[in-house]
Amino acid sequence: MTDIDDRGFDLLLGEALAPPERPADRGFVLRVERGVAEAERYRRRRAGLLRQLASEALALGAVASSLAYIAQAPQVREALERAPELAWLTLPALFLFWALVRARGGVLA
Amino acid sequence: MPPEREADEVLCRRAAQGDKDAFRLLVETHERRLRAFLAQLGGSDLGDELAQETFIKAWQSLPGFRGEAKFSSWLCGIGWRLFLDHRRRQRSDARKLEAAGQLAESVAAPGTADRLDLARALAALDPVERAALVLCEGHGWSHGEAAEILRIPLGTLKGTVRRAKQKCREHLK
Repeated sequence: MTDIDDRGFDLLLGEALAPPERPADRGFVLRVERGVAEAERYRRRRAGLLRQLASEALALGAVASSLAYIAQAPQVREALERAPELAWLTLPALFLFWALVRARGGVLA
Repeated sequence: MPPEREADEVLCRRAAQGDKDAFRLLVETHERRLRAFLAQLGGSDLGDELAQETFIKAWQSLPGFRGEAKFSSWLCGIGWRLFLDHRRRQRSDARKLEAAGQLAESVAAPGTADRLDLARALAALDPVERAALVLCEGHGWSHGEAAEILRIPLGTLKGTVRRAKQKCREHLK
């Protein structure tokens, strides 16, 4: 290393650390554009899945509360008291109903 | 307001509304400086990778950008935080050595003995010291702007630049 004064050191530092003088790198710009397009696709897919999840949860909640309301009717309550396993049967029935609705939605889509 | 900042503000507003042509112009204008900054922190390969990530993050965050700071310093700040995140994830010594080697290449391009010594001196600096030195001595940011980019107090930034310069100077003696 040669012996340099403060001014020489500042100049050396400035030159070594300065960004290069060159035109815009088209290849890099294209890579960024592709990255942005990919990120946008991912964001849309994620938002779509979240919307679907929310609407399905809402639908299931509505069906469950309807069933709970129906179960409070005196005749239904009496039947459930005679055969409590009927209450448990509603769960797979509910699942089947949801699967059917999903399958139908998939076919229609 | 300087014309280039005004142009950036117009492009930012358009890009925030989803105008990809406006965003492309912003990338074309700012990629050179951002990539140079990040390459000086972690080598050219990592610099390019982080710069690309920075622009994608900027595109996603543009609707929230209020233009209180310059677009270029906001962008640099995102790049700096991505670099810190990356560094936290990759703590192994092998990675650090590799990055230091690449850094020496990126700074010592013209190949003089002084530049090579300086590259080694810079590689030995702490990342905050190196970033502060690059921003203030190489890229022409003011101390206030550099402090904003690195999110450290102004006094700390000034002390960091002074210390980094001193360390480089001692390394070159």
